[in-house]
Amino acid sequence: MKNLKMKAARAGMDLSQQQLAEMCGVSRQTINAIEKGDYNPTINLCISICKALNKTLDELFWE
Amino acid sequence: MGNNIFDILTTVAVFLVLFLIIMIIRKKLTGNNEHYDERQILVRGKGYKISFMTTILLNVFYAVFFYGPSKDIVSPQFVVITIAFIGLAIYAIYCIFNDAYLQVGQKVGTWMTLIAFVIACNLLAFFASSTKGFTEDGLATGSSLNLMVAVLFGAILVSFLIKRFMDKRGDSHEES
Repeated sequence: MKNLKMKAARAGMDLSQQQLAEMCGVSRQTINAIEKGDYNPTINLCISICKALNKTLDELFWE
Repeated sequence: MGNNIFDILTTVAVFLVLFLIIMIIRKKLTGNNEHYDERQILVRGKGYKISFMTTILLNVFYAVFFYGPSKDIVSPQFVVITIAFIGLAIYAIYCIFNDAYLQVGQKVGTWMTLIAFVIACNLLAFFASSTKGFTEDGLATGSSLNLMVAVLFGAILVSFLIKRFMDKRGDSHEES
């Protein structure tokens, strides 16, 4: 299932996938896969994404 | 006997020194920031599993069905080495198409140049080799190994190019 909340949060901060990936220390393709719902990140990466986007885990990853 | 041990120790020492030099240069160039992220590690594990199973299955197929009829035509040692190279090619291509071949922060262009250099060196060694043909006295010749390495890296280079083309076509959809 697509993670539209994360995509919206990233777009809200005017960040590209590449910029978010660099902030989290992962590849752009990994961010793309998470947004498309092709990959379920570990809790460590979820926390890293939340910190980069100034959001909580609930806001980005809870359905 | 004593000479053989000296040769082996010298070879090991040369390899160790080369390895250390490469590691030091690599660290200076990259700052040691390159790493595989968690998705890439998973993909590489799956790729390893697929290539391992393929290698085992090809070896079993060869041993059961093809060893008898083909042993006088193609050297078994050559076939087994070829199967190992096929396994490596599958692993590399799987990783490339799943964006897990290069580490985070590595440059595609640098890798492609390096791969082209490896292909050129091995093709040069293949054509310059004094031993002709793929096998000699039932054993794979050095030049056949050079050709196999060139073909393997050629497959990797072509996969890189295809993946780049696919990425360029799909980029507009990814960022939207």
